[in-house]
Amino acid sequence: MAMAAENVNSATQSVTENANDAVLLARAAARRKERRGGPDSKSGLSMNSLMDMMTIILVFLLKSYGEDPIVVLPNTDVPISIAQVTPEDMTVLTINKEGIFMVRQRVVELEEGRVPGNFKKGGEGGLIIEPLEVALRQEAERQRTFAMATGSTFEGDMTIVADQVTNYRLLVEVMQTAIGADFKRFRFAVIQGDMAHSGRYAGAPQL
Amino acid sequence: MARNSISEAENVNLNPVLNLVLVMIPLLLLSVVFMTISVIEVTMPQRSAGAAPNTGEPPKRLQLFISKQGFTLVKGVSSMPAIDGCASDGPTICLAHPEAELDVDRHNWFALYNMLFDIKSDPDWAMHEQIEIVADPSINFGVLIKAMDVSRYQLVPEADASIATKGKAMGSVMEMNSAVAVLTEVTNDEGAFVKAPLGMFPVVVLGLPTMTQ
Repeated sequence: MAMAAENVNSATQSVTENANDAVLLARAAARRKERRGGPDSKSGLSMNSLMDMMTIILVFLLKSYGEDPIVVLPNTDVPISIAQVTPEDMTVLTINKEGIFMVRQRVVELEEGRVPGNFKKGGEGGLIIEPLEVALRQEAERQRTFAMATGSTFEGDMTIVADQVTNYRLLVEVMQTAIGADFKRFRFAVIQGDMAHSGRYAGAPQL
Repeated sequence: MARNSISEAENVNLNPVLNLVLVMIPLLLLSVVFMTISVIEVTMPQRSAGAAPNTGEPPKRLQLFISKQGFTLVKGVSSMPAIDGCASDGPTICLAHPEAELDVDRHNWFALYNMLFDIKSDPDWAMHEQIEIVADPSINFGVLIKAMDVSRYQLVPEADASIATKGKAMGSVMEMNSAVAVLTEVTNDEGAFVKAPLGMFPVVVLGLPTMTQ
């Protein structure tokens, strides 16, 4: 009986010593890590750099998204001009080789730079593009409702962002259709540049 | 086993990757094309709008017709005669480079500017601000924009820009290409003085094209 009790005491002492050793070892390891700089401090540094980078990218993207009231769609070679009037927020209509777009939505598809006759009032010789007229009337109505709600007036302003190869006939058709839908004041979007490059586009062959 | 893999992941050194990314960001930023968008204000009468009331006096209109053959200027009611070097039965200003690849490079902008500047220098036309531009249906938007740039502003060679108070006729195509608009002080809506380009015929009215094409 006494022998058994002695065995238990010795086993308990051994476990306690082992636990103390483990704690000491862990503390020693932690001290070594601290002296080396340790993986914790390394990962902290990496996260800082990453956060800096992400902040820069975020600020850049936010700036480029929030600044321009006019977004130039891909495949639209806007001509250069010496005009320096800053654009304002208004209805933007884009004409490029693929079609006529309102707020990134294609309203009419073009065939070789022309609106097919079946989309126009009066056929091939007509000036009013029917699907565009419907879309513009809806937009005008939406803007009128918004103006009434905010106590302002609907001015019927429109900015046209056109590719430099857009022909005059198509431009006139779009403007006449817009006039029919109560848009009266037009602005052409251009890229600011010098007189030597006026009328050309950014990637045009050299003079 | 799982604990081992976690501690290995914690020990991955991200510094080289981050360094690479930090080098790439300025490179990418440099390759981004920064474009400043501006706008040109234009008006277009409705097709059904009636003719101007007849007052008995000849209308004081300045019209610029753009075709694939060149420019025809109509001052008042009569077309201006063709300039030297152009066929007398053709447009007022014929093409300068008919073989050029881009439409915009074919036209004689230098002659057009000088002719418009001459009209503006005439005391009878000094206060006139409007130009009506009508183009053939096939004329492209780039040509139209250049026509507006040439007719809307009074230009001076870049070297004279800081001292010029009004525009001048251009001496050569090179001078024209490096020309800038004369800036003048105007008051804005808030009553503050701001610099704005001095207009030649700043009000542009677009006309309906002849629907023959």
